[in-house]
Amino acid sequence: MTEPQQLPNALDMERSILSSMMQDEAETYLDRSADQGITPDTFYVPAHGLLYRVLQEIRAERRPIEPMEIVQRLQDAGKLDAIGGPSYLMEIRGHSPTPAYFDHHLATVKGKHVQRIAISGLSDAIGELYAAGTDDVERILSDASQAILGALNGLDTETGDFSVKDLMRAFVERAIRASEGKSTETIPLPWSHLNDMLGGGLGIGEITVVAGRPSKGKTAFGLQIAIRAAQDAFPSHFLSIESHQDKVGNRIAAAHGAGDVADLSKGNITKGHLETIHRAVKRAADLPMRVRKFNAPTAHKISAAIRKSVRDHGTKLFVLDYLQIIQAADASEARDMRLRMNNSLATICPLASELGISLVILAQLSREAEGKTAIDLHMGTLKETSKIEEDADCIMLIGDAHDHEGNSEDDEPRVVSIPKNRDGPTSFARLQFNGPTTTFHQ
Amino acid sequence: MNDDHIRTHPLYADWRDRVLAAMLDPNMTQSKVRSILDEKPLVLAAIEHMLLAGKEAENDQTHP
Repeated sequence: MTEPQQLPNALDMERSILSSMMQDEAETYLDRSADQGITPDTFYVPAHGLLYRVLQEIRAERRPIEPMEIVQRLQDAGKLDAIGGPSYLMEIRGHSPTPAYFDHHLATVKGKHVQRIAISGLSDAIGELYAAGTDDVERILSDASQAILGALNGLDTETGDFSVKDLMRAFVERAIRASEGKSTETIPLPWSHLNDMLGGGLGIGEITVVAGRPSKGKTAFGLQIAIRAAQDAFPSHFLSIESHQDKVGNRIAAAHGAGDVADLSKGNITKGHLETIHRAVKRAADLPMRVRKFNAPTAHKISAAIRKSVRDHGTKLFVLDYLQIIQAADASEARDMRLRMNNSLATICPLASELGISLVILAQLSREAEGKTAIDLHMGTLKETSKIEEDADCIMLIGDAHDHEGNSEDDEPRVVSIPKNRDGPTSFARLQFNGPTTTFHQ
Repeated sequence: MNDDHIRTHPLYADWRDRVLAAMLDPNMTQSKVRSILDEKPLVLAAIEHMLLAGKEAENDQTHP
């Protein structure tokens, strides 16, 4: 019979670092361990975690770390026996400390803890996968990947650690923006009259919902927002569930002056048009913007992608296209569209304030909105959910204008109605939707 | 001329990058930084000129 496999641990190194901390006259080891994100839970042996907690308490009270103080505190808390009595304490203290290897031992103890988190997350997933229905697989894998990402975050001690040079670079960038009269807390939209209504643009930490019936230009509107943000040095990420990445690429090129991109599918590109495309691509290629194409993602998967993008690319603005086609995470969500919408919003929306990003969520309006002009649209036409009304800081509804006056024959007039606006009055804004370039302009 | 057209123009982005690089360069003297900052009106005028020329060319094509 084989012995059950023990979880990864580094017992001797746990004793070694605790020994160093207990004999630490300069009192630096506890601070160094706190800097590395060590907590009582990091230790494999519960008694070691308990001892570490007591050492932290003594340090916080700025009292000397000496054996009698430690024993007394453990006794007062009724936990002296739980850690093996005074003799085990003395044994740890007497464990030959190796200050030269303190950081190495600390990193190893932490690494073993991360391994245990990952094993636990994956084991839970494997256990659930045996009993899961096909509807649950996506959610289980997403939860498992979250656990692994969490473990990786734990290993990455440099996250959130910036050099002064990095901070000064960001500071100068903000100063240059401010010298142009632009706020560093809002991401401007491509349309100045909408910016005026929204107090300068989209707020960091805020959620904006843009809704419309099919073919009213939701995707084009969202893409232009992402492009404009990137042009203004706010890294953006367009999360597409609906459109193929090539289609998104066409629209980005069109928004940079590549002309009528519908000519591509007709096989109808002239030499002159290729030159125009060359100029447009040069302008678009260096944008700090990414496009992610999902196939039937759950809200958990989207949430994981957002976290990763913020971590890897410093993304400040996300546009999600679109809410109603996010997949159900389980059978109950599959049966109940309203529950699915609410759960999706509950998973994704808190990320805005937590990560300091601006989230634009595109959504479809119900059939009730069909044939109505934008002036007649109201929040009740948002399909299947009233939670959007609660969660969104700003809601924009795209609809037809009551008249048909365009700036040119290719333009279709649209009106953006803003029935909810946390930073200003509710209002309307007129835009023109240009079919060949699939872009909105004033 | 729309302010957005100017601020998203590659020439403007180039000037902005040079300001950033100069301000972060420890060897850059105050007067050199000032001379780059002083280029701003010239850059804006050049962009405005290019945008106007582009618009005129467009009009010529539409109404030959």
